[in-house]
Amino acid sequence: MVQTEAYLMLSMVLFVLGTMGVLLRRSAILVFMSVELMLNATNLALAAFARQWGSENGHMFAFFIITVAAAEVAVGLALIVAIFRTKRSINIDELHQLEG
Amino acid sequence: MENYAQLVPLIILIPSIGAFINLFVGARLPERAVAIIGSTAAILSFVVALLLYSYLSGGGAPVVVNPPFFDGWIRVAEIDISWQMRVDTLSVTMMMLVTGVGSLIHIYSAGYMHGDPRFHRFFAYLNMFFAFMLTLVAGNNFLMMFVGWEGVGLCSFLLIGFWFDKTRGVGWRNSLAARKAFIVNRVGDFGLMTAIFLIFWTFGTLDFYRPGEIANVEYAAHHASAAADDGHAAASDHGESASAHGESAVGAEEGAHGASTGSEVVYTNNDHIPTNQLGVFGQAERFLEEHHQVDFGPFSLPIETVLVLITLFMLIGAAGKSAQIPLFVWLPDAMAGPTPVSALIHAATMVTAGVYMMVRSNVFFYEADLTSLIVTLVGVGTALVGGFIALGQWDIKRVLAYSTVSQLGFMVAAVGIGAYSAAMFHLVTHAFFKALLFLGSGSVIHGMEHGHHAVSHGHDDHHDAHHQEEFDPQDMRNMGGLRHKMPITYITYLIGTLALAGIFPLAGFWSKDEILADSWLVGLFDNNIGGYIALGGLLLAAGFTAFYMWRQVTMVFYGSPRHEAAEHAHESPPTMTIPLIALAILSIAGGFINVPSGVLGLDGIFGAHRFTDWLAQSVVHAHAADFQALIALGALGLAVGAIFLASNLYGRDRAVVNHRDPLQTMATTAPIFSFANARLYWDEIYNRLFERPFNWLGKFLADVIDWRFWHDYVHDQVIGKGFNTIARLLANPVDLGLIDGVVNGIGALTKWVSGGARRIQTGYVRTYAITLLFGVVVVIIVLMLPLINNGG
Amino acid sequence: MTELIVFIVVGGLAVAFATLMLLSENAVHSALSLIVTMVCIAVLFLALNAPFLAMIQITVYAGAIMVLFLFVIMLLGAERLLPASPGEGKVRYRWFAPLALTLAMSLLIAAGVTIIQGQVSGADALGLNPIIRAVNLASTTQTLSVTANGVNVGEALASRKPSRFIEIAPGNYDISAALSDGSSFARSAALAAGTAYTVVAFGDGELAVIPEDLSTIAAERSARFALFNGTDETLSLVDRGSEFVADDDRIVIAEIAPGALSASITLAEGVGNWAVVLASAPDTVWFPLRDYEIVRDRSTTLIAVRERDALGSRRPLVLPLESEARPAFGSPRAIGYSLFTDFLLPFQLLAVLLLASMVGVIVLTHRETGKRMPTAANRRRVSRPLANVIAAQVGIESASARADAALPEPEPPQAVGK
Repeated sequence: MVQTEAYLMLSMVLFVLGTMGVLLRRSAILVFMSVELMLNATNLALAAFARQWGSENGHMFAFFIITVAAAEVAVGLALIVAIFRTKRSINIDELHQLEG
Repeated sequence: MENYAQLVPLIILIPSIGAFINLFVGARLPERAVAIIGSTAAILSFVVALLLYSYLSGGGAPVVVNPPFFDGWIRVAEIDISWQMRVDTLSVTMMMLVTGVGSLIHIYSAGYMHGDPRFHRFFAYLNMFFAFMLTLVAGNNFLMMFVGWEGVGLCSFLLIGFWFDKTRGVGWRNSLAARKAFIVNRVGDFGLMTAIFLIFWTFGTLDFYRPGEIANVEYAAHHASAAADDGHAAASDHGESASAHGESAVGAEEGAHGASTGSEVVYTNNDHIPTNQLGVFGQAERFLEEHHQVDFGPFSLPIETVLVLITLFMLIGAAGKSAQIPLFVWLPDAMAGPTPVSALIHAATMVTAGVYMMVRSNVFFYEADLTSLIVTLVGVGTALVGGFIALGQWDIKRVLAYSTVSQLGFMVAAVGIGAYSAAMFHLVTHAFFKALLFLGSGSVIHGMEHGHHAVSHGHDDHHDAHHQEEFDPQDMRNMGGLRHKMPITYITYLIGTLALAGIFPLAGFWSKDEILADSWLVGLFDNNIGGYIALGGLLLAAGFTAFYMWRQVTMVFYGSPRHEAAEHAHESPPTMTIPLIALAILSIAGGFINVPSGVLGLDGIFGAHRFTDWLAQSVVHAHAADFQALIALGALGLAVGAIFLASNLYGRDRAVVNHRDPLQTMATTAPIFSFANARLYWDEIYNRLFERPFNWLGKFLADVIDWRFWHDYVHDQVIGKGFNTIARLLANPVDLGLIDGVVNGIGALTKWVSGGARRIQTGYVRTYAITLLFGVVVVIIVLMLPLINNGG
Repeated sequence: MTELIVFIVVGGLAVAFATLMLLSENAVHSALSLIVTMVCIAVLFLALNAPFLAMIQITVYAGAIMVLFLFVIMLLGAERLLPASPGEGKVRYRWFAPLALTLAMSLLIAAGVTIIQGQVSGADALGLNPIIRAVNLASTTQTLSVTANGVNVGEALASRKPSRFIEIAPGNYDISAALSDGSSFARSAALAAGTAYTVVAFGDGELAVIPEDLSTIAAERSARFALFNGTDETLSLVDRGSEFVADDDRIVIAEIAPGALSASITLAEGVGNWAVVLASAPDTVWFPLRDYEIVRDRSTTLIAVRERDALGSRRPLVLPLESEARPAFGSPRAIGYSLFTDFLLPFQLLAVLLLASMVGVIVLTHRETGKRMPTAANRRRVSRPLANVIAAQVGIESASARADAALPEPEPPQAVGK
């Protein structure tokens, strides 16, 4: 049986990759996909912990995260479409109207 | 029979309903219906009073009745005042008097007020007066009495000013007379209220007697033993106890355990009731035995002193309502009201409320010697002053008004010398013949007005208004010779006059004689100076009475008519004459309810001291005087002499010439007559003493204090200018400088800080994200530190 | 070993494709790489005993969500939308990329250290607390209260009514029971993790702690049975067939000694016509269990005792204590059970959230057809044109359509400096 730590490390690596995607990519869609990757990494860690503790609560949370992610993606992509309609761009560096 | 006492709430309820009906729908009803409603309410009340009488005379014990829906009236903390009614001989006597005389006057009013535009309102007021007067006499506590007291005052005000839109009589406006009566009565009410406050403070209750309490212990004990002895002559026994009055505890020892008749224990005294459960009078007697000190916070007074204070304040109240010196001035002016009102309210019933109150409180007055003396002086003084002024009046009702003042003085003097039953006796008989006289005078005025009406219609109609202004139907100088025009009125009036003058064997003779005999006995046996003063003063007043009454009869009915209106006067309708006849019969027979013992064997026919004996159940210090033949003969002789003198002076035809009294024409008597005619300048003295200083003070307060000092100086100068100065100070340096500076400074500071802080908000998503990541890393490292230490 | 290989291969693939997603310039390529990563994670879920999660990972994530991504990319034509020039932000935040990398590495290192130092696997894995309940078979007239080391297991239990299972820490317990008449009895028992126990009070102050097998029933449409013998005679459970006659007796559970618990047997669902018989007299029915319904996925312990009734005499009684067998860990059945018991409220809230996001998406992408023109009714009504008012004041009788022509001509502006 593979140790839980191994899964956690894998999950961490994927999470950090997702983080770098969020930080470094300029396309809003890619930023979004990176967020999804981070969520996936989290799910992996939750599943690993669930097995570790023999409790199904971890699975429940992973289930909820997947569902929320679906909702989030729908709303996020709708935002992107709306922004694209007005600005003809999805480059997040061009979206800084909130600058103080 | 047993339950008749429970009917007593009806006696108030029925007139109230009558008043409401007449007040709210009376305007739409025909006159006849209004009269029937009002009279029926009055007569039903009388029937209730008769039922109550039959209850008591059938041996019923005095009871306190709680009307339904009035369970508890005023309950605040320790104050618990119930709306309770007391059925005892005193209250039932007053009820019968009020409802009986009142019913007759209702019937009379239906004729007298015929055609008046406010007919329904008159009857509503009369019924309202009934309700309040019966509240006054039926109440079992001083507060209920006070409610009735104020209520009858209100009705009196409304009825004096009933013709507020007319100018009548000697030239004052009726509304002014009503106001005068109301205001003078307020002075008395101040006294009564103070007395009530003092009573409440002293005894913690206002109830006369509590349910189950026995008012007259001595009487109850006597009654029980009399019942046990089966047929023992109660009246003669009572005579003995009367001579032994003052030792009220005599019968208490034997009756202490109560005489058991049947299965129930019937208490004949109050020894089983704790002091704080007794009514005010029972408590007062206990307090007197204990020499109780009444605590007034910073000081305390012995109960005797407190009783003197209470009774003095009560006297002020009684002086207001019962028209005694110094507050009698309202009563003559109150004659501005319709004559039935004068008869009912201002002669027979309401004005006797003060006497009723004092008799009700006889326990207090009996113990307060100082007050008793003052009461005697006030009563005698009032009797003399009223009698003297009556000698010089022209107005037929005014003479009767001063006569009423004088007779009320008799009653009050009787209270002062401790003859409470005599006072009540005179109250009752006086109600009969004074109501009779007033109604008779009303009949005369009615006849005069109709005669005048006929005369002025016979003449040119254009002079009508002019005529009415000059002609005064109440002025006796315009009358004369009415004996033939109005025979029934004449005969009944004559009976009333003789009764008032105290001619044997009419009602006034017996009641007046009882007062005189009592004062003589009090002076003789108790060594009480008040008794002699009362005897002398009242004898003189009785002489005055006979004189002015015969003067009046002569001027009105004898001789020849002095005005064409008198020639055309005619007898009044039966609705007016029937009450006159009824009252005349009462005036003749009324005295026989209290015939003293040993007079011509009359006591064998009527029984001696019946009324006193009846009252003794509820009046602790009631006692009967024996017949004093000397006094009675003296008073009778005086009265006959005065009548002879008056008939000599006025009986000659054309004695009253050019509106001048025979006394005016004689040089020796002219100043006396003018003095009496000017009413002793009493109103003028009051005008000087009170009205002018009052007006001056009012003007001073208004002009100097309020306007010049308060308005011009304090408001304008001090407050206004000071306010302006402070406002200017606050506006310029404080508001503009300090507060605005602070506010603007805060604004500028915020602007400066936010100007720097806004640079953090770059608007670039990635900067926010990396800030977040930075935070995450820091948190994880902080969380990691203990793990590293553990691992190490 | 197989799992390790799977882990290394699939994990490596996941990391590789995640990196590819990160570095790819074409958004479509990125999306495809992410799909591969997600499928890899689904495989890892399988390895982690989470088949349900693996299922929805592939359907919802790799399927629905990524299709949505691809659809939007294609819709917007956003494969290569980024401009050639780096843009203002890039110039302004020249320091950004190094800082981001540094922070990401620190996160990785810190988390890694934490994972290793935290010694997750060192903890006792798969530890479920024992659960325990009690049943009163000692008296029909009195109630029973049971405590374990002072912990209340069942209070005032009426006869034959088992209490609910309560969770309790594993370990040795002194279990004591008291009847309402005051008589009490006790015994000690060791409660192991992951096991269910039923405390049975029976006979004259006897107390048995019966372990119950609640594990998943492997055979389909089956139920599990065991027999506990609380009498002082040897008992058997026989199947008497549908006729319920002694001829067809077929032994189901044979010869259980007094005080013993039989091994559990698995039976297909259906109806059982059983009888409990004495081993010494197998033809006499000691207690009938006729038309007994065998419900699948249920674990039943038959408890045979002599019950004391109100008159004090003893009567045979077999009480079936039924409980649901536990579903397999991570199975859809387990998730569903959890979802509809402990997580019902969060599930409802989630539904509300989804509904809200649906509405949000509609609102966000609703294409407006230009500014709405005010309708005739909404247009501000002017009772008279201003020009007409002025015209009336200057004395023109009729305010015609050309009333403004009657207005005085505006003065031509004065030329400056003329």
